[in-house]
Amino acid sequence: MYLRRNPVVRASVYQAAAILAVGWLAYTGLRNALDNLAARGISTGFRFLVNEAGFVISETPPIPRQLGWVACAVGAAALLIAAAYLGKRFSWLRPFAPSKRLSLVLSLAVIAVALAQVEWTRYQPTGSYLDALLTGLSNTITVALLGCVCATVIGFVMGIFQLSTNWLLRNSARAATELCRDVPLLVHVMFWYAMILNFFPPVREYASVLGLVHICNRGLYLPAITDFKIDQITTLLVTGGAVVALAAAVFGRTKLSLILALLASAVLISTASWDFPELQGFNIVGGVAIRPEFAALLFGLLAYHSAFIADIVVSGIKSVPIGQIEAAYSLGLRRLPALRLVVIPQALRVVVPPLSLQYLGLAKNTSIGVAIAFPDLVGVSRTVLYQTGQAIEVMLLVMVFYLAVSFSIALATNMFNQTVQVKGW
Amino acid sequence: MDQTPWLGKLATSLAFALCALPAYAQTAQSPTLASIVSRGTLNCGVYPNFPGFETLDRDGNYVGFDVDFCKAVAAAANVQLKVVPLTATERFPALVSKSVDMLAMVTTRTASRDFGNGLQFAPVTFYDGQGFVTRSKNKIKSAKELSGATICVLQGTTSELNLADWFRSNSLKLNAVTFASEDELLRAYEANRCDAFTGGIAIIAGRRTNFRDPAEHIVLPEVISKEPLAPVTAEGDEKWSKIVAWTIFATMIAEEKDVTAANVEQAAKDSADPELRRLFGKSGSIARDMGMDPDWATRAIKAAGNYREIFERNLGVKTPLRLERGLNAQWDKGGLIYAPPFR
Repeated sequence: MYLRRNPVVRASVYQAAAILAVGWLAYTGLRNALDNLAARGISTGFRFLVNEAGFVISETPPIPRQLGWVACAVGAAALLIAAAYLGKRFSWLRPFAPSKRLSLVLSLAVIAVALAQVEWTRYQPTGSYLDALLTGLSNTITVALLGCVCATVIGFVMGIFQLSTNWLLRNSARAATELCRDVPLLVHVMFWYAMILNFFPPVREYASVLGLVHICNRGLYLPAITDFKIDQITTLLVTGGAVVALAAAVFGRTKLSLILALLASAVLISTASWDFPELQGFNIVGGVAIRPEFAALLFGLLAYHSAFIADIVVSGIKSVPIGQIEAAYSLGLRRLPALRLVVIPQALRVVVPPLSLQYLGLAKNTSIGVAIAFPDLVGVSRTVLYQTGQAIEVMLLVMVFYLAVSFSIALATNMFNQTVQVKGW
Repeated sequence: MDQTPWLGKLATSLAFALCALPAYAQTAQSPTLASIVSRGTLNCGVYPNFPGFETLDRDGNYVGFDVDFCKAVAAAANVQLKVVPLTATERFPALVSKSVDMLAMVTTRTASRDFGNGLQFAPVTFYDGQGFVTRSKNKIKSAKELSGATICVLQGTTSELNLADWFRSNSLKLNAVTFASEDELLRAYEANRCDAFTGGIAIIAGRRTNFRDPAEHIVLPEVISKEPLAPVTAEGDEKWSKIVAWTIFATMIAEEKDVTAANVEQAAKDSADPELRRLFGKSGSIARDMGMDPDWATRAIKAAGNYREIFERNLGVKTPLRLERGLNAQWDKGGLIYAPPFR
């Protein structure tokens, strides 16, 4: 009698019952699936992953050869971050848990060391199904990262243009945003693909810039650096110097660092061995190619998501009280410094949470690439699924991969969000 | 049935008794044939649109290579033909559940289909294989000259694997673009995204006819895989499967003997050829053993023509598909079309 009225006991009993019910449901679902597969003579398990894939993937970015080390590093990083979060939650864990900042730095370091240490390889048709899936994942991550960075830049610019005092700029930015936002993503991607295929010349009649950069409807071909004639350490030092000098030039805006960056780049370029693209037989070979599928997917994602980011930026800027802007002007700040120092830092508090949702959406929407033959994770997994018939395993893997990508984005944006929010609240 | 087990037992023992009867008695009729005759129509499953093999003509009737074999079987059974359009996923369940009596829809015979799906394949009517379509202005004569070319291929097909294997075994360099939908693939090929596309030759030759200028595209001679296409019946009625098989063989025998739709009635009446006399029911009792009337083959050939006529009408060099006989020539002309003797 007494126990039944005790809210703590009641809550635990209900929760335990709910967990049991969900667990039972999951268990029977899995059991049923396994039984049905066994009855149809379909083998289960992930053993097929090491079998030879045998099909061609059109875009093969580097993938790590020793997966074990990368998996260990990612696992360790996840543990570190989980420990930091759990330490905040449970007091008894606190003495063992690192701080969030420490865990972030440590986990990034672990992953960086692992990625630097492993050998990299490219997928071949003789590679395994796992290699094929990793190639797909690698393509997905490439498009997602590039898409997030570019969509942020374009979105911010378009958002600020929408609030410009210049009538033409303001209204054309508004019209462009409205147009891009109101067209479904799939249509965007297919539109850009059709545009690229039909607007650019066929490969035999390729257009060329200075004889170095070739463009046709099979891709944009750029000269590639294959090696440096100086030794590796010097290359690393000069590259590092160039990056640091460039960063200093951008943030510190000193002429000296700009000159240094240019100098270092000049050294690098002059000592590099180049691979120039040229037409051979059916195709342009050599150099690096940006393929139409990749470009169309990226353009489609950018057009769609930067329109939403522009709207988010507009709402963020509008959320800053007008008094703040007037105060900035009355302090003698010009328009750009006022924007940079007063408006944007306050706007970011409103902008970052919905922005992170856009990043998540963009990363997952890369799967639209299936429609235009871009070999992203979903595209490759479809082939693997058809060829092996291991539907459940392949889908599970794809889900885990997407979960990892989305979780990483959520983690990064959450951490950034904490730095822009008002401190002490 | 459960309430009257004795009825089942009686039927079983009757069936055994019938089987035990001497051979000169009328053998048991095929249940499928019996239901086709009593309903007056043959239900034949085909794809909704597959240029050359099954398409709608201007009057809304199905025509094509596969449809002609449906016609021949319907005429042999002396019933009307009802063409039932099916999709790839519907076709086997429709056949096994007896919604259709046979399929003639460019189905590749494979071991897993033979054993796994309850199917009985009729003789191969078309020996297909994977090939390449390319632009004639590329001026290549052989697929081996495709090294370094970009090839479009459909995702999840055996073609996708064969393509990689073939290029690898011939040490050619391959750039493949893998499309999930055929429409996107064809659009990309037309826009010159790829130099060639690959697939079953019958399929790609048909798709070529949809291009703006079909004459600008050629099918290369190399065949890099085996795709024997055959009509299908359901397992469990061997007699019906044999009737379908021998109707197909009849068209092949008619080609060998130069019997066409135009002269079949004359040949049935006058021919002195012993095999033709047996085929057209003028001697022997094969038709009766089949459970058919003696004129079945005459009607089948009159309705559909012989194998050559069926081929040339739908797929041959005078049609938009412009296919040579190749593997589908008669056995004595270097092909694989070979009917067992009708005796």
